[in-house]
Parts: sequence; C-alpha cells; structure tokens
Amino acid sequence: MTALAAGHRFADTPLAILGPDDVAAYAEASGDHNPIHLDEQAARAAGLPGTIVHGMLIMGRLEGAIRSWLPQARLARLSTRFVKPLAVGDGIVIGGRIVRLRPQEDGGSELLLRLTVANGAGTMICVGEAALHLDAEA
Amino acid sequence: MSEAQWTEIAALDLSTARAQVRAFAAALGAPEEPVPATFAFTVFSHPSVMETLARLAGERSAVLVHQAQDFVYSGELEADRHYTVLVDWKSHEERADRLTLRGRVQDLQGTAGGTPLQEFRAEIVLFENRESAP
Repeated sequence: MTALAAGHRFADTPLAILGPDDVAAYAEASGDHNPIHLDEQAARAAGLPGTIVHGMLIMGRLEGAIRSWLPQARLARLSTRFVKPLAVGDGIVIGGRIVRLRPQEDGGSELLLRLTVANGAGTMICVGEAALHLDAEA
Repeated sequence: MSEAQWTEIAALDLSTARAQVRAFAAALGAPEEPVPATFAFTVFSHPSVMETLARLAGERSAVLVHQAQDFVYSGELEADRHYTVLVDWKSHEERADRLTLRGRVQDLQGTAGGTPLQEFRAEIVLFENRESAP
C-alpha cells in the first residue's frame, strides 16, 4: 500500500449514475418515501426543478468510497453538507484527500479526510469530512 | 443567547435483521458486512418521527429537505440485533426554517446516560415554495 501522508489524494471514484430505480430502491430500503425523491410532479410543486436524490443515499455512497480507499481503517466520524441538490438521473464522482494524520498513543493513527461529491457536470454538490482510526499494524 | 432545547420524540427499536441490512446495503451498492454506518439513520423514517416532521412542515406549508448530516461512531452495529435509539429534535435559533434531528444508539446493554454507541444528526430545511406564493 502507498504510504499515507497529509496531502495524499485518493483516486476519484468512477461516475455513478443515480437513476429512478436506485432512488426507489433506497426509498424502499430506508423507509424514506418523501415524494420529492420519487414523484416528479410533487417535487416541482414543492419548488424544486424535479426529483432529487436522497442525501443519505449520497452519504452512504461516500462511506463506500472511504471503505474502498481505506478498507483497514475504522470510521469514527463522518459529516456531510449539501451545497446543491442532486437531480435524479444525474451522477456522482467522489473525491478525497488526507488533510491530517496524527499518531495515537496506542501506536495507531488518526486520519482526517476532506471529501467532495461532484455531479456529472463536475459541479460540487456536497462537501464532507471523515475521521478514521488506523491500527498500528495496518 | 440560550440554546434551543431538545424535544424528545421517542425511544425507538432499531432492528439489524440480516434481510433488512442486506436490502439497505444493496441499495447503496455496498457489502452487507459490516452493517453500513448510515443504517441507523433509517429510524428517522419511523412513523413517530415522520409525524413530528410532517406537523412541523405543515405549519409552514413546507417540504423537508436534508441539508447536512453528522455521525459519530463509538462502535459498529452488529447484525441480527435490536438496539434502542433515542430520537429528539430542536429548532435553530438563527434560522426558523431549519431543525436538527438527533438519534443516539444505546449499546446492547442499554446503558442510559453513557456514551452512545452511535450518535447522528440531520439538519433539515423546511423548504417553502416561494415561487408559487401569491
């Protein structure tokens, strides 16, 4: 594995399209049937340009990206803030970099990651931060 | 300025039955083990939480849009268990159109008052359609 250090940038995830079927599956699995995610007319009536993807579905994808970059790390904290909604049918690309790596008393390390989510056009829709713990032997 | 107080909604059961976790993980395109970190968030879809949110949104003729989320994990959830999650909410002092939902997952011993196994918050916007307003 490449040595981790502050400034290390992980390879962006491939573009993942989140279409109506993905959103419907997430609504069913999570129980979140808010019509702004599922019903084009309801979303427009609410003043949105159309249906939008669940924020938690995007956050779940972020978690997946972190686990793929650092499968040996333990997630301690994850925060996200949306700056724009993501239209259903658009895609996401997730980026991440290490902004801090701090040794811990137990011999492990604490990593702080900055995260970005862009839509298919490359516009930032979400920013985030994650704290992870790496064991000494990792 | 005094901080807004948390208002309790309910102490809810969170089941990590394997079939539910599998469906949730599949919807994320993730493996079912470990239990996805965001799985606990599904308690916010519980009818008692939805009723509270619907009432708050209804007072403003608004829809609910998640703006931000924050999770702190002291430990992962185990599959095929039942956890108790304490759910409450509070308004924002500076933004009348914002509220925060909070869930605190108790460990399997149900230790009250201790550090939650997981704590998660969602900042929600009560989104009003001002374009259609007269």
